[in-house]
This record gives sequence, C-alpha cells and structure tokens, in this order.
Amino acid sequence: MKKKMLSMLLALTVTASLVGCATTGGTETAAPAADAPAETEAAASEAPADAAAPAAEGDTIKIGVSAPITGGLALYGESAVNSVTMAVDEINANGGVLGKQLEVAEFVDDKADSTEAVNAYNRLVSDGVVAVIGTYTSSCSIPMGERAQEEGMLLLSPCATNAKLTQIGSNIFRACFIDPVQGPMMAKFAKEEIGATKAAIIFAKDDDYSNGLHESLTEAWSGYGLDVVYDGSCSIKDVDYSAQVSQVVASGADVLFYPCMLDTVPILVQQAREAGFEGAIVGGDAWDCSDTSGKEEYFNNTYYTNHYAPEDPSEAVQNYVAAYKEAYGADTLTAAGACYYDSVKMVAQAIEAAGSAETSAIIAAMTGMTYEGVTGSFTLDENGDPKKPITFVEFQDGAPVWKSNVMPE
Amino acid sequence: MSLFVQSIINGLNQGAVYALVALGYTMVYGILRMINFAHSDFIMVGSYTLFYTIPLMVAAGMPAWLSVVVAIAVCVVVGVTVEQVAYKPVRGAGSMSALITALAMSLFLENLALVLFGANPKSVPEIFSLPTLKVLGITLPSKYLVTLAIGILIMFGLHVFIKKTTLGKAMRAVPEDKQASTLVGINVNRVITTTFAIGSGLAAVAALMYCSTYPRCTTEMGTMLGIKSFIAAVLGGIGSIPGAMIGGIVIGLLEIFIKVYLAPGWYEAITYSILIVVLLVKPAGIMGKNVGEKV
Repeated sequence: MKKKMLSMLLALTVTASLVGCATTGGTETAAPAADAPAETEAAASEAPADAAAPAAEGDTIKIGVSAPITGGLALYGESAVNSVTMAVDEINANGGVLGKQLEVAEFVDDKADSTEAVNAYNRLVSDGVVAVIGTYTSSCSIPMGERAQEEGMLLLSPCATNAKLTQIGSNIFRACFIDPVQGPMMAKFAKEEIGATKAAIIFAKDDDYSNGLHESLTEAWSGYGLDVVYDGSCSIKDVDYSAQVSQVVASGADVLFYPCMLDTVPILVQQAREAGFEGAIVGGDAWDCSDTSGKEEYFNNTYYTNHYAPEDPSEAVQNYVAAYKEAYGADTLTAAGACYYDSVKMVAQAIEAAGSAETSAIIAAMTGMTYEGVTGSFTLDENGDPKKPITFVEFQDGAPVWKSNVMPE
Repeated sequence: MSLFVQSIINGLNQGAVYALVALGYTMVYGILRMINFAHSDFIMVGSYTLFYTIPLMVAAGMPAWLSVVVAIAVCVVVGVTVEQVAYKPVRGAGSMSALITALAMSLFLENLALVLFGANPKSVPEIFSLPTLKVLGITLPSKYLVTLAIGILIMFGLHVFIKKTTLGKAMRAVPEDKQASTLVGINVNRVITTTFAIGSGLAAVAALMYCSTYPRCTTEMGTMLGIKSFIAAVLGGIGSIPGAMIGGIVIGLLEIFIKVYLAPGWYEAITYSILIVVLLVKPAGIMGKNVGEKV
C-alpha cells in the first residue's frame, strides 16, 4: 500500500507540474475566453473598413497584427490594438493606400509566449496578409522572424529591442531602438545624470529582451566608469527577489538596473526598498506604464528609458496623444501603442513607395526607408534597425515625468 | 554576516507563506486522504477578493487587513461549493478520481478567474503599514514578524483544535474508518465539509500573507506557490500539522540560501529534487507517521 501511495504521489507531482506549465504557457482552454474581447474589438475595428470598401476581392490590402493582448503585458496589447485601429482609420480616411483600403486581417494574441507567437504568425499568414506587424516582446518576435524570413514574409516589429531579431534576415525590420544602443545609454545616464558609481543588475535569464539588455549593459558600463558590484538573475515568473535585493544592499551599490517587464516591476521595487535599498533603480522601455499605485514612495528615484514621451511638444506626438485620448482615454496610452501606430504608417508608406502591395516589393521599399512619426524621425540602417532618440523618464510621486530625449552617438 | 542573518529573515518569511499554504494541503489530506490541488487556487480567489475589497475597507476608514474577513468568507463559500459540487459525488469512486477532479477544479477556477477578472495582473494595495526595523545593516520589515507569528499561531490553533475538541476528534476518527465513525454517531459529511471550510479559510489567510510581501495577483499565481507548498507538505509529512510548518520553513530557507550562496539558477531544480528524494528515502516525511492506509 505504501508503495502504491508513493508512486501515485510521484505521478501526481509530475501531472501537477505539467498542468502548471500548461496553464502558465496559456493552454487552449484558456484561449477562447481570452481571445473573445480581442476578437470583438478586432471585428469592431474592421467594420468601418468593410463598410467603406465593397466586399469585392482585391479592394483592400490586408496586414496582420500580433500583440500580447492577454497575459502580463495585456496593457501594451490593448494599447497596440487601439493604436493600430486608429492608424488604419486615419489612413483610410485619407484615401487609403494605392487607392485601396488598408485592412487589419486579424489581431492575434501571442500572450507574450514564444509558442503562441508562432501560432499567431501562422494564423496571420493563412489569412493572406501582405505584411505582419508584430510583436511586442523580443522572445516572441525572434521565432516569428525566423518563420517570416523562411517564407519571404515581411515582419516589422514595433517594440522588440533585442539586436538578434533583425540579424535573422533582410525581411525583418523594426520601429524601435535596439538593446546594444539602449544599454550603454542607460549606463551613461546612470553615471552622468544620477551620479552613480557602483552598479548592480538583476535580469531575467529566461527572457530574450532582458538578456539582450544585460549583455549590452555589462559590456558598456565599465566604459562609463561604473563599478560592477553585483550581477544577479531571476526568472520571469519569480515573485520573490528578497535573496537578490539583500545581496544588492550588501554589495553597497548605488544604482540597480532591472531590465525586465512591467508586470514584475512593482514587486521588485517594493522588495528592494523594503530591503533598505535607497539608490536609483533604472529600467528599460518595458517599464512603461508600470503600476505605481500605493507604492508612490518606493518609486521615487527610479528611472527608465522609453520610445517617446507623451509630454513631448512635437506636433506628431501631440496629435497622436490627443487623438488617442479622445478615442480610448488616457489609461492605455503607452509607448508600445505609439510604436504600433508608427509601424502601421511605416508599412503604408512602404506600400505607397513600392507602388504595389506585393510582399517582395514592400520589403524592397522598406529597406533603407526614411520615416517621420510619433516616436521620432529615422532612417532604417542596413540591418533594418532605426537610429532614433531614446527618451528618459523619471517616476515622481508615482507619475512618469519626462526628463530628456537623447540621440545616441 | 549581516547578509547571512538577512537571508535567514528572508527565508523565514518566504517559508512562513509556504507553511500556511502547506497547512491547507495537510488539513484536507489528513482527514480525507485526498490532495486538494485546487487549494492553491483558493489562494488566488482570496487574493482577488483582497484586491477588490481593500480599497473599500480603506474608504470605510477601517484597517486594510480587515479585508481578510471578507476573503475568508469568500474562500469558505468557494471551498465548500467545490467540495459539494465536485468532490462529494466522486468520493466513493477511489482516490484517483478524486485527484483528477481536484486537478480539473484547479484548471476550472483559473480559467473562470481569467474570464471574471481579466488577464491583466492586479497590483494589491499595501496591507500593513508597519515600520521597518534596521539593526546593524539588517532590515526587518515588521510585517515579516506578523506573517511568521500568524503562521505559528494558526499551527498551534489547529493542533489544539484537532487534538482537544470533539469536532477535532471526529476529524481524526473519519480517516481511520468512515463506517465505524458513522456507527459511533459522527456525521461524516459534516466533518468533511467543516474540513474544507477550515482549509479554505486558511487559504484566505495565506493570501493575505502572500499579498503583503508579493503584492500582485494573477490568475495563475497559485500554480507555482501550490507546487512549492505541496513539496513542503510532503517534506514535513503530509497529514501532519507541525510537519507542514517545518516543511514550509525548511523549503523557504533552502531556496533563499541556494539563491544567495550556492547556485541562483538552480533553486527550483533543487526544490523539486527534494520531493523526489523525500519520496524515495522517507515517504512519510519529517513528522509523518507510517499508519496503515485506508485509501
């Protein structure tokens, strides 16, 4: 009997951990429920386009969009869906592209999960899109990029900053700066603006974005005169950072880099402050719109990089912010949304320049294109990466306050 | 040296949370001989209840932690409903059916929460605004002491309840022999329902302690916490109340010390291998007794 119990327990644990993986990975059982709101939104957004353009085949140009609509980054996903809808409506209101209406075939949800991302990509391709805009995370965009390059599809990632993405091939582009540029700029900012001398870092070892920033930061910071006193890691599903932050405090660091995603930022900041860390905490662009409610005090003396600042007085930014707030309110106004907005406009501009809605022609037109938009004016380099300014933001009493826009040297 | 002491404090705090969850597993197992995998999702339910009720409590001018009363009520209702609707009908069908039902309930609750609360993680407001003590480079948030104290208090409370009260005695009698218990006048169904009510109430308290340190709720927050606490319960001896406490503290301390001093990336692998080692070497756990099973 004891043996039987024992083997049963073992079987149980294995099953339990499998279930654990499955649920965190986002099972199919979770999908219908989670997809529902996204699809209704997508359907709603398609309605005007459909109404404007008669049903005849070939009157619309279809693009696909992937975003983390559910999961830890759902805020960015929602913002992306809104911004893409806005951009498409604006383009169509101005006569569309090549005289045709631009249409989002589908908003697919990659759940910020790399397996889901490939499924999402496959779904878009089967919808017959001419270009794919996606997706937010590097961990998801890289596997999508590999598929896109193999199949000759155009992939434009709005926000994936890991350098490896555009190195996959000539079909892959992005609308944001890259980690090898962002990392050194963060180090420089910490040294020159914050006045830090001793740096510590905690990064998520199972996330491409976090790894990319960790690599570029650790390569660059000694060049900016920062002493490295602690280099630790966590995983994206961790909730307990007490071991790491106690070591940060013991190391005597005066700046802590935490290049991870927004959903874990409030916990890390709270635990670091509770452990007695009083120095600056610096994050990357995935800190945008972190939830500071109830933790305003902990968030003082924290900084992050971003793609744009809504306070930026430039006309493009103010038009976008005003239109977004009017249509969807300020709650979901994120930099991710701005990048998706720019991505749609970039694709539209490339189609116009190509004079054709053939994917290969759009790729040719996008290579080396110059674009002016919400997140800056830039020319894509030989990899398909823009060189654009990096925005620095500081949290003051829980609210993000724009510090500066810095053009990387 | 201060890092060492700090690690003990951090480990005890994390361990106390594991212990509270493990108490829930052990409670139900000790009486029903069934592992209630949905227990970790009761904690998720408790955490969401806290998320929604704390602002109301604060607005009403009451201390935030009083929300735990609402959370306990909600968790008890959910726990007892799950028991009545899902577990009771399969009670006669053997332990494997009970187990599969428990796993199904766990998935059901997670996906229900996804529909009800959305996929966006929620940030729980501060529960205890207590001072942080600083001595010789060591920081000790006083809420850690509260967590530990509540854990120990509940453990003793449960222990006394099980050993001394009539209902407790009935609870111990049921797993020995259900039929004989009925013969001596114990209402087996009522005992089981009470067990679930207590177990679910514990989940709400665990949610309070969890959210005070890790103030975020997601629909799948219970998964990892549940597995770790289950390991703690097995290590301590599943079915044993002091065992759950000891198991939780040991796992909590171990994880922190592995992260600080040994191999940071390895802590989860080591935690899971503990389970395998315990099952192979001492399946009854630290405090468990090898009693004749009547599964």
